[in-house]
Amino acid sequence: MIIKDAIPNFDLYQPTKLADALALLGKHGKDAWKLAGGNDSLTWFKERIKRPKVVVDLSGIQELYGIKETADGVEIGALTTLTEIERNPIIKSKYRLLADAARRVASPQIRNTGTLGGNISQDARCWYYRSGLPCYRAGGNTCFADTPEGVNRDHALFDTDRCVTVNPSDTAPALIALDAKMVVKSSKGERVVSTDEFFIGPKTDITHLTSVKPDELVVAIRIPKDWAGARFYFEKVADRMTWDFAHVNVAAAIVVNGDKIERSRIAVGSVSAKPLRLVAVEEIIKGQPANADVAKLAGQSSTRGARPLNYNKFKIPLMANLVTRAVRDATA
Amino acid sequence: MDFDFLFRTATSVYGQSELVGASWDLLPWFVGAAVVFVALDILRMGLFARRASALEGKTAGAPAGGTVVRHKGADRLYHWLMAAAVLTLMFTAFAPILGWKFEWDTPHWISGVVLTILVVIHIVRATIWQDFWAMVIVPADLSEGAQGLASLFGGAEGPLKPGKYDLAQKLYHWAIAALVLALVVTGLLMLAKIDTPFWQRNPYFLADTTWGVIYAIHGLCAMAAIALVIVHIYFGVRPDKLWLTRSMLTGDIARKDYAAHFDTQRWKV
Repeated sequence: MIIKDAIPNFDLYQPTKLADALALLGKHGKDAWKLAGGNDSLTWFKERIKRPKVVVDLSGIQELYGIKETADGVEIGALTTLTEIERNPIIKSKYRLLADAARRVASPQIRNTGTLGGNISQDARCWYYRSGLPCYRAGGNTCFADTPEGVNRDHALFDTDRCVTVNPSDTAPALIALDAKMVVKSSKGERVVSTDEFFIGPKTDITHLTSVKPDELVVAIRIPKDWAGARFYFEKVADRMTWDFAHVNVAAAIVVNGDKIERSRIAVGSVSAKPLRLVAVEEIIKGQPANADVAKLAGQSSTRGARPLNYNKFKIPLMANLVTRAVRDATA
Repeated sequence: MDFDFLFRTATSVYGQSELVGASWDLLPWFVGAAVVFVALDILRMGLFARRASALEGKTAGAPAGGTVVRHKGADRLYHWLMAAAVLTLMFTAFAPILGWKFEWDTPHWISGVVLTILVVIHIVRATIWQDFWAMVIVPADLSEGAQGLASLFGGAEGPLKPGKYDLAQKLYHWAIAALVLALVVTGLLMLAKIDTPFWQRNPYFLADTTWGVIYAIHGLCAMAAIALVIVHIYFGVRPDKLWLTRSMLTGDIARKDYAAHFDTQRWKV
């Protein structure tokens, strides 16, 4: 009897050393799937939409765990769970923005096994794509969400280029606001990339949300101390308070000097395939007094250039309100 | 015969396999074919060129001095602008496929529109202001071509002299013209899929299956064009053709080359 309702077969490798994992990825390339917490992976496998030939289970690689303070800031191993990040005293005291973001990811059960590396590397949640339809992101040449009747309520406002999905990560905007760097390794070497280079949009590669190549692995996330102790704000709006992806989320790190906004980094998620850093808003509020009028101006400015789809127009005032609240409440 | 290796397919909403484009696995084959052609020609040159070059260029009269205009300024400008557009299109198309990720979409469509404008200008100019028939293949070309082919391999008689363009050049021109026209037409249709400052995207005026055919044609023609461009560049830098290549920069050829290489009755200056 042929069992047809099971996860398709694959070769499972469970290396305990990073070098071994990188060698496996280098050998198998596109045929290999990187498994961390498994919260995203197993859904793909059970739906039988992704059928990798090889799965590399990273959970046994101890050097990818842990949070340590360094001379330049803090380094978080890619396999550190979101619960650990949420509760870590260093993160809570100096980089609370990330703890706030991690606390809003999914549910406690998922946060107990979900990793920071996995959260920033997760794939798009567009239901058409997730159903296995031959859209652009799946290598086809159409978008089922970008139609007059397509259910595109959770899709993008900005930078839509044929594909209109969004990056669903909650920690991504927080890491952008904290100016984090991702350490990406392969058997050929290491590269440290900014969030701007790490997250990519459809204009760059319509089939991926990150610039990580098949033979590479995110091993750590480094947060510089530049924004340690700044004023932070994180808010996520979703249909449910738990176990749901954001309609819009916002992360802000703001330094106030006296009563003036000295500098800021503000990022919004779930409005574009590449989490959106609001550089123009940062320039507008720089040097301005930290008051409600400036916060309102920031909110109004943030949505310039938004191109809503048929069912996500609500995201425009939502995004404006969240950015207003971020600037107002972070500077209060 | 199964042609699946030529194409990429996906499963449609109805559970059926549908065409989504050309298979990029063919790229090494197209490039390889061009490289093999170049290698064989280099080998041929090494084995037969001494006899062939001795026979080529024989002329009854004494060569005259001075130069002859081969390409006017407007035509040279067209050629080099078109070359820049084509190379930009190829780079922005295939570098991301080969792994170099960057925002390729915008420079690609802009170069495509530039190429389209250049092609339209060329068609109008070549038809109205230039000698259109200089590029048309006529019976004399076939005789010249057959004898030229023999002389390439050291045949007994030297090649018949062509008009302004020999058979190989005419064949190449029409082949690349067909590919470029197919690329332009399919590319212009694809513009409907993106937002530009001039229009909003509407990818649904054609069905999925139709788009698959359009993408497949675009991809196959693009890969074939790469092969032809490799061959074209090779002939442009081949040492015995440099005198001709220079005419695409300076506009003229030496009168002695004109007398030696061309039938002055078929190409009158």
